[in-house]
Amino acid sequence: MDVTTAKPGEIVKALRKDKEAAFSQLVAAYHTGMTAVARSIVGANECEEAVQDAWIAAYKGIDGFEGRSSVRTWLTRIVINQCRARLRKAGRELNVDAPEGEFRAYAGRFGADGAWSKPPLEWGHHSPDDLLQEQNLLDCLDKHLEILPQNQRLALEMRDLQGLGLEAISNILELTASNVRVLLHRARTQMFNMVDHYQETGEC
Amino acid sequence: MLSCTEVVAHSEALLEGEASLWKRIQIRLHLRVCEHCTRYIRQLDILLRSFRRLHRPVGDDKVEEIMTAVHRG
Repeated sequence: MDVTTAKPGEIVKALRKDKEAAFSQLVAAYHTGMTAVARSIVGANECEEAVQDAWIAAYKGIDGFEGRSSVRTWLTRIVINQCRARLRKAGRELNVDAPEGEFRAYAGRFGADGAWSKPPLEWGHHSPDDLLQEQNLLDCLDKHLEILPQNQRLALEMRDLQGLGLEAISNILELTASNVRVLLHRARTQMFNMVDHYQETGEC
Repeated sequence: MLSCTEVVAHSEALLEGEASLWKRIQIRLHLRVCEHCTRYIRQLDILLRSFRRLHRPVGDDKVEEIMTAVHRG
């Protein structure tokens, strides 16, 4: 069974049948994503410990997972709760900011008539596989994901890297769906510009 | 006819299947005559689908380390 494509009910069944094997598959599939979420909240130094605590909590609570949400959403909630607990211990709180200020997507790339004045370059990639083959570009994507503002990074991580639904993300981050959409738009725009710049200059 | 800025503003809704039928028709009409927006949407689609593949599964060593921790936990 591929846990990333299996339905929640199938994962519940697999966990009931062979908890160790199915849980190991969840760890293999989702550890990297959970670590990325934790790093966005508690930083690089503490993220591994936070994720390990999250796996311990998930294992203890696995019998309570009934497949009403996706397993990704369930695990993301757990890791965020672990991160919140860590922040509280340090006297801090997780407040994911709603988007603020003016944002002009692709500023300077459109004329007064609303047409492209500096259109996107032809990247020469015809599929995700094609794009991800270029190691320098992959490194550059990683670097730019790291430097996005926390609220944008979390929204992009949950939606585009992990495939959570908008409603789940709104609930987890305690933001409105429309604010999550704005954060996603800002993050995606910056990542698109980054790839476009890389194609133009060969530099990250 | 939509302008390029309007097409860009609606492109994510289009790719996520959230654009209304009327909006999809307006965008398609624009794309028939605009190579820049066609390229933009095609490449944005590739980028968004690439994101889903950025996280690689961890190896057996890491899984074993976590499973040891959950059993101790």
